[in-house]
Amino acid sequence: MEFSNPELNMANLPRAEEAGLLPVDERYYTVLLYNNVLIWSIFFFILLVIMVINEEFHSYVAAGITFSIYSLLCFLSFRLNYLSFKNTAFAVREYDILYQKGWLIKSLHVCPFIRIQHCSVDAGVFERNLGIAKLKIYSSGGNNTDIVIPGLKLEEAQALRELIISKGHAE
Amino acid sequence: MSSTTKWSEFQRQPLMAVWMHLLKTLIQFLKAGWPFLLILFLNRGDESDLLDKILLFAIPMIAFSKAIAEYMFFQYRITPEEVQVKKGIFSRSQTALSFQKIQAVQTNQNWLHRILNLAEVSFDSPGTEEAEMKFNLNKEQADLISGYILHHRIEKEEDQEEKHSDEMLATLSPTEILKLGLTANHFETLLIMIGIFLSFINNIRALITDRYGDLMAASTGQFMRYRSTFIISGIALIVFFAIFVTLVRTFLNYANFNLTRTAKGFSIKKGFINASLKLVPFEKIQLISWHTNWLRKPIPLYLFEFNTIGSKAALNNLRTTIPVTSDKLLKTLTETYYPLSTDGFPNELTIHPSFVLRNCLMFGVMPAFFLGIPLAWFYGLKGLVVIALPLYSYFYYWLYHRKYRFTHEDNIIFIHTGVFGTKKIVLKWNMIQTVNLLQNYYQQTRNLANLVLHTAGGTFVIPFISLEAAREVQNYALFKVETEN
Repeated sequence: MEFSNPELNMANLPRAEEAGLLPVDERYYTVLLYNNVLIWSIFFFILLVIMVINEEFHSYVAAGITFSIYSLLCFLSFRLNYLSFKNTAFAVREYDILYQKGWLIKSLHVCPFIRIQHCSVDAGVFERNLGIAKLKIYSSGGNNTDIVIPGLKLEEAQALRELIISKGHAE
Repeated sequence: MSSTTKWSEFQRQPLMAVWMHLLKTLIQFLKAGWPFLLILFLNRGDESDLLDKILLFAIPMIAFSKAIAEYMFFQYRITPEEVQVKKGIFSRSQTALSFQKIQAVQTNQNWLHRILNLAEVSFDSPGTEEAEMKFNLNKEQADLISGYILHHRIEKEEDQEEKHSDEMLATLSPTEILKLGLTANHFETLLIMIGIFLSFINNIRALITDRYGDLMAASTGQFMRYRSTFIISGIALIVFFAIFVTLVRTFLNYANFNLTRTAKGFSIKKGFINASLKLVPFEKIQLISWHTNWLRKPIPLYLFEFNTIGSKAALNNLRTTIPVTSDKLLKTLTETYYPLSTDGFPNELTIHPSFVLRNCLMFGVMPAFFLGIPLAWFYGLKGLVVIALPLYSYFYYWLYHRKYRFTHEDNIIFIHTGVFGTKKIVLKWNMIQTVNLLQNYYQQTRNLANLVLHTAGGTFVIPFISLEAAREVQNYALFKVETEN
């Protein structure tokens, strides 16, 4: 048999960055909002208790500064969540799955199907009520290699799970 | 395998293994209760009866009962395909580990094992630490089992034939062990010693009576009175002691070292009191690496590592370290994974210079600023010593940036890294699990990126490379994984 080993042109390889990424469901932003409201309400309650107990906060200036900082952090958190949501997207190609997330720290994680050990579909309380779910994809070698795609319609998540399992077996 | 033992039926460990369980239990008791026993011993005059009862009756009785229960409720069997273990007193569990998933088989013998002619066989799996299996067998049975699982042979005769083809690669002479010990990281030993000492003081502080506390305070006072002489001689003594401890540790760890290449993998035997035999199959090796420091480099002396598959929790167990004392042996070991070209690599990536300043800012200037203000407030000018942090971090990241080279060719990646020492990593493209391209806000504005390569044997970050290069490497890695597996 004749052996050949032609040089590869890296520029001609399929480009992950050009894959058509699909945004996650809008309802996922509602889940993020619910979570954020819950967390900041707890903070607000703790802050209120501290301010009532501690006499140093019993002045308009101290209370004003505290609430201003709280409001600023709260606004930044909601804004960051929104921007991150806008950047959350995924794509399924013939041999791999891509997941993009983050705004301040952008990440494009690609996992070939043959590397997937198993995958599951999970939904939290808010997600169940809104009819969405997250797809968890596990590969060998530690937690950092796992991909969690949130904000998928339940049927879509189930279908993706089936597809990944069938692809894994097919390879 | 031996026909006298019915391996496929569930069975207990050899009866002598009770003593191993007893020793393990007694060590657990002593580790947890030594401060309490120490205080009883110090106050022996008042409560000697209680101490005697505890030492001579209660602890041995409880330990022996626990050891018997552990022995009785632990069973194992080895089928032609897997190892199974049943254990637990109140909550029973049964675990099975197929031979295909076993990454390495290790046989360990401590002093009691040797007296009782036993060996502990452990099977490393790619799961968490809990998935690992360990049990005691007779020494001959342990050797037979580890050989059987590694070679996956049924006939003992075939196993014997394999042994004839084994090739001895390296041993360590006393001089080489001495070199290894003298050039080791004594600073690390010093930190371990300080940690043990502080933990000891902390444990007994709450328990010792006032008279011992007063004695310690008086000793400290005397020490401080002659402090310059004491400090100089003390430092010399500590350094000498650290070197001595490192030498002893190295000797205990690497005495009787023996590296053999068999038909299926490497067999690594080492240890003076606790002897261990580890078998690493070739096909389970994910990547190889070797590192050296400025003292070891001219000798030459390297620490070579095989990384097999494992989760983060199990990675330390699945990393096999071998001392390499010649360039020839290093070449032999690397060639079993992939023959490296002597002409260098056609493609090379270096870290962008902004990496040094950015990291110095994040891990030097900012912590120094936030720590410096309160420290200067409380300790005056002495607190400003924290200014050294930005200088150190600049130097550290400058060295890292200077040494880091990510080179690759069609089949392999070669990473040259290190700060005060040098580390070289060889990884086949098709061993990559997933690829992650990360960009923080600064990198987004400068078209730079961090590329993270996840493998089953560890994760590698290629920091601050151009976005275009990161994308090319990402796409090539995916191409290799998807076409060659």
